Amino acid sequence: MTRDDEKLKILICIGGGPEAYASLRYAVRLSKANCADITLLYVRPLDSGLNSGGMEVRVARENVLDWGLELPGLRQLKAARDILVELGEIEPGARREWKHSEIKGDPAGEYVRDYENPCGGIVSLRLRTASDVTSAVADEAKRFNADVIVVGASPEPMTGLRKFFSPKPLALKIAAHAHCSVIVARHLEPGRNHLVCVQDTDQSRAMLPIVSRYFQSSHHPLSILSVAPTEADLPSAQKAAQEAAQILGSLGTTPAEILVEVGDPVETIITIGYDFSLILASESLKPWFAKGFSVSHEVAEKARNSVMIVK
Amino acid sequence: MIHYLREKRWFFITLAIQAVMLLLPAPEGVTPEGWRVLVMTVGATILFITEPIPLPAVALLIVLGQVFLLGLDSSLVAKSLMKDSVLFIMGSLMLAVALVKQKLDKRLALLIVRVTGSNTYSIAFGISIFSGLLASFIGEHTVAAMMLPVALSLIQLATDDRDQQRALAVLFLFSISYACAMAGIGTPSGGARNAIMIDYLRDFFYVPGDPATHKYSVSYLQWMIYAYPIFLIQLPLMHFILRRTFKTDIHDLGPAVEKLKEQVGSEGALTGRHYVAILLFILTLVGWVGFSSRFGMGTIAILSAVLFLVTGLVRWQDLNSGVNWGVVLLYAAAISLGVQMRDTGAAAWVADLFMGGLAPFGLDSGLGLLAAVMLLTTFITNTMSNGAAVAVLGPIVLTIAIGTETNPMAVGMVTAISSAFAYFTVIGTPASTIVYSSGYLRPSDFMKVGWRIALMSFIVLLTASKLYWPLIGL
Repeated sequence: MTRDDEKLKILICIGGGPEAYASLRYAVRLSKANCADITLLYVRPLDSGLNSGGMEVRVARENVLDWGLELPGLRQLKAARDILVELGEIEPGARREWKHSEIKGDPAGEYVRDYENPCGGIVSLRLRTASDVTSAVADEAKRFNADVIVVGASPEPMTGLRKFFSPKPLALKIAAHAHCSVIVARHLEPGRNHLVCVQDTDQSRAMLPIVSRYFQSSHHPLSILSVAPTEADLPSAQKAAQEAAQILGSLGTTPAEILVEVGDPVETIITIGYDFSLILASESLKPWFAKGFSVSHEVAEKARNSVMIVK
Repeated sequence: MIHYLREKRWFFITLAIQAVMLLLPAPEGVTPEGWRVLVMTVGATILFITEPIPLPAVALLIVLGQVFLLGLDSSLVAKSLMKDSVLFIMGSLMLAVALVKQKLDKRLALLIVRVTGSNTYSIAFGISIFSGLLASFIGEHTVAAMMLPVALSLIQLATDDRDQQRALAVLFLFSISYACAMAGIGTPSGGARNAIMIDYLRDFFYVPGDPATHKYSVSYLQWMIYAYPIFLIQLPLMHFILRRTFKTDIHDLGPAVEKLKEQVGSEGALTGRHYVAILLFILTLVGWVGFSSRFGMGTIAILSAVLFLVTGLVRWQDLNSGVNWGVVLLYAAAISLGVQMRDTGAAAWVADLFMGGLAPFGLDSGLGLLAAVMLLTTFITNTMSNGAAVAVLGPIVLTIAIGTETNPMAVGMVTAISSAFAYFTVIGTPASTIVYSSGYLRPSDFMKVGWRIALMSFIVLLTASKLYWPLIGL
């Protein structure tokens, strides 16, 4: 494994609201630990239909760039860059040119500006246009070979009738489609502990090395939680928790505490997880369209704080 | 799969509606063929509005529908797709790309600020005049794309304060988009919808051997005489409404203008290449005005595109990637469907229905009818592209004109002109979409000022149809 393979690659979606900016501090903490590469991505929805066909807007966009003016979306990326400058990830005086490259299926192409952080990682600002933001983020994550995507969710989960009539939140769509782990960010601050939710399943065990890799050097204390839906499931839940502690310990990550509870898994995880910076749960094996009915995605949808779906 | 079904739901809903309509017996007064054409038209209209599939795909479906549903010979359908107006649209789009490639926008910016000085409102008015004059000849989206950086430069050079920047942005950007939209009515090359209406008027009323019908073969110059003054009257009124609606604290842009002059002044003077491009453009205009009635507007447009290619001012690759070929295909198919609406009697049946609804309100003839057509077109054009709106409405309103003995020329002109009144939405016109893409505007801004501009345009158009058109014998 080369040093580049070990580096964490973090993709942060900018543009969905203040949550993404708040999560920058968290990403920087991970970066400080193992010199991660950070990509800040802004995806502008493609103007649809005959009225623009994308083509006319592309001509306008090229003209605007030709004049050296800001493109829409650059402002948001620059605001994120300014936070990274403040956090010491980018040199205050660093100036870079925007580079344009063609992308298949994207009439406006991609605009990229790269910076080097003090430890040699790359901080990259990327602006894309796409008719489907979810696919563009998933595609960018693959191209960047991202380990984790951070995407801001609305601070308050949708409830009641509004939930049924509104389209699925972007963060959850990305969580269902992305190839790598996704952090659905709400008030994502690095200060508090992390809660790893485990079950007695192969999928749950498989996520532990990934969890360990993320947090081994970032010094985030981990707690393990296993929830038994009924009293009869308690032995299985206890076994899962102990096994997880052993596996993590063998990987060099010692859990701060082990919790085993009985109750509805989603509700219990949300209630206990409220005191943590981040709740981690393994991805469901269900197909993408049914993931919304899995524990991890339900927790991501309903929790009041951040949730990482580990893949 | 669920994601796909959700995304394409309007496509499947449209198919279901069409299937139900086809299973129903044809209403009284409409032939089975006419009913099938109406089923296709309803489907195309829903797809134009909801856009679940690319609009060029709707065009292809129209072609397929004519063969499979109407049983027409495929060669006949293919022939009906290509007309002079379609060649004209194609040539105009190529010409627009060729002009954009000359990068004349920076010189234009200098010219504007030299003429207007540094007063904010004078610059805004200057921007609308230059945008309008250009857009009346070469298509609004091209001009909006050229003018956008001019306005953004001034905005960003004027101040760093976000609120003040936005106040300037709404003034300047709407000056571009509304001027472009209004200018589109001025000449046939200003908007594809005009070419579509010219084609309908010819198809519906022109008989080569009958001199009484020759006025229905509208030339480039005739169109300008009918429509250009309406555009020119609207322009200052639009500026007046904008400055009353969007006030700014920055009244003098002197420092920004100086910085702009410094920035774009480094581009140097016009070169021989620019002069040749300008000359070719002027020759094209002369060709359209002087010779289009003899050779066809499409032929002149294609000739112009060829000259740009031959002189090396534009490469085929640029035209190939810059022209929205889907637009050409869509308008070709829509016109072809419109002709089928007339031939099968479907247009007459819809026109009767429409008239039945208007009669109780006294809107079934004269100025009342023109007002009704204007309102209907304005409503439709705000929900779909203006070219598609004219393509769908054209056969119906012209049939209404025949049925009510209202001047078909006036009805056709009102339809084409009011298809520019898409002031209310971001997607109303390509120019609006382009200025919105700057990121400075909000959708609510369009509503805030759109109704004022629309009201002004209604009054100007109705006044022109009552006073000006009879004066010039339209």
